[in-house]
Amino acid sequence: MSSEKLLSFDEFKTFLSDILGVASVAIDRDTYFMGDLAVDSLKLVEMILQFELELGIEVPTDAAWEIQTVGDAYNYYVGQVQGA
Amino acid sequence: MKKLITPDVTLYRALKKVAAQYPQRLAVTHGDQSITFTELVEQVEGLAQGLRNLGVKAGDKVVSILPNSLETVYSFFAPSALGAVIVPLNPLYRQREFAHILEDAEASVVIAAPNYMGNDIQGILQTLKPSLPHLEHIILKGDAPAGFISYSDLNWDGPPLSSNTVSPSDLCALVYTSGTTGMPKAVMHSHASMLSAVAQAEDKINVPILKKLWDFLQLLMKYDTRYIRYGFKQFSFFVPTAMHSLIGYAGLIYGLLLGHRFMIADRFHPGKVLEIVEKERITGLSLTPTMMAAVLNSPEIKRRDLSSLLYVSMGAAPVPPDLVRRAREAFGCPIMIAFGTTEVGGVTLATDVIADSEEDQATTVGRLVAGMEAKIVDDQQRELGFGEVGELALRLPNKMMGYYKAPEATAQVLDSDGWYYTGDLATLDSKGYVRIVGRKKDMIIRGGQNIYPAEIENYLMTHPDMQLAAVVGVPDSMVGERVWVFVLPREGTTLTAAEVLQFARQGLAPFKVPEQVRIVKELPMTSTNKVRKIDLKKMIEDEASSN
Repeated sequence: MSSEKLLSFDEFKTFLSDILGVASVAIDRDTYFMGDLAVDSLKLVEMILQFELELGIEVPTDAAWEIQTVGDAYNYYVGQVQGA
Repeated sequence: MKKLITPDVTLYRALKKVAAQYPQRLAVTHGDQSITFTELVEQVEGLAQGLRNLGVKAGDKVVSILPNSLETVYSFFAPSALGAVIVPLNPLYRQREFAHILEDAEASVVIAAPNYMGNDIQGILQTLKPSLPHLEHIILKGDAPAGFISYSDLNWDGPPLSSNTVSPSDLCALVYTSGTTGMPKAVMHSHASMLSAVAQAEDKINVPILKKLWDFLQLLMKYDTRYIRYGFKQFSFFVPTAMHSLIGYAGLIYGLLLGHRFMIADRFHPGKVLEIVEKERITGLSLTPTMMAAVLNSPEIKRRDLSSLLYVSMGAAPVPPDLVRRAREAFGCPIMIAFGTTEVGGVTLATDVIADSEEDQATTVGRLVAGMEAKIVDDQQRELGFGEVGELALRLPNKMMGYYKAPEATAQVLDSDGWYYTGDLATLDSKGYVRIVGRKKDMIIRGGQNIYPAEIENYLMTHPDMQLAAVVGVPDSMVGERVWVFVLPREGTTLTAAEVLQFARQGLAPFKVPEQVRIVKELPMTSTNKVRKIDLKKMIEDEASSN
């Protein structure tokens, strides 16, 4: 997937549910990757770095460690697309 | 210098002794909060009084489910003032894991945060409490609803604490690790074994002045003038990991009881680690190899002034030699490799940044710390010669008391002569250097965390559609090893990888959840009907080399 247009939050949820293998209904903005989805910090960082490939946005290494919730991830994604 | 670790000392008494020696020194810093050793002892004793007023007595188990904070430090030391036992747990465990541990430990009190990173700890404890007859009180940080006690409402009043009845050989801590047979198991540590790393460090510090001077000159020649600039200032020691983990709590004990300031971070973040090193003028930093790789990749490594660092230590997982070299170049200070296990309680092997060649510092885990013995043995536990590969066995004065409620598991690793069989395959050379070359036990080390495949497999096998699950560790340059699971579904079912992952996430702590799920139609089996994991690993290797 590469993003030519901005994904809506629902589309972003579907994208996450595909790469995480969790049901889209289990994901909301306040969902924590670690506590709610049992994605530990190492997997989370790798997943965020995958955004580069899948969504065509650049994610500096340190930024990946700052994301804790699905809302954080979506906001970061929107910021990168709109700032590009 | 007078020795801190004397034969009569317990964890609490050791802290009191340090506080008496350095009352106004800073003991702990978390964010913009710092406390002195005197204040630390006041907080520890206040909490101990609070626990005593709730009825906690010697031998009772006090479970701590707290993310990194000052309260985590207080909770770690307070039970030892009463002769009670601290049980530090990962706040990201799932309900199933908490249920097993709280029951197994017969926990009488839990000190917890209401939630952590979305893990509803309060809700889990509320659900579990009726089925845990030993659990009398749950203390929560912050507001406490009915059935809970707020940490800030604990009653600190009472007669002075007297820990004279507590012996250094008494049980001090239960440290739960991934289980070899299905569920987390606990390592029992006495006060003496919890303090063994400090005792070793003291022996190293208390050397003749001429030797100290000689070492100092060599450090100056090998590195730079940072050792002169440091002078006689207090050390600041930083272990940016969760404090319930081996390097977290071992670092806490080691740092504090040597009179250093211990630095706490909420959680690991490579750029922030470097920012804190610069801002707080950190002198000693301890990282796992995975953390080190992330720190070296951070753009902050070039921007921050890291010249306060006198050494950086690495451990908890095999350390690639190239990582040591890169770290030495980036930090400009000695990089020390330490080897220890939860069972030995401290560091048993370490590189010597002065005496060891750069090659030995990069390619070995060093030589024995004073007072330890090591040998390499074959499958029949016969000693092997220099350079031969076998299991590393260690004998040391203070190691674990055994696995809790598991005499058979204890007998498998501890013999009657006091040798502890590590399960690591290693070589020993004629100069005493040990090289770790593999693992005899079926364990995966991922990002510094130990994971036993049996624990994951046994849980996954409770899924109704699961015929067989086989978990293997796959080598990885970033995290050491990754967790893969091969799944054979029951005939007539349509189990998917996503369903397996979903199920894994419900019952396993995040670090144990497999990263790859392969659904297969058959699994290679041995004549004794066990999965041939070596074939599965080969399959993965072949797949990787063909891509």
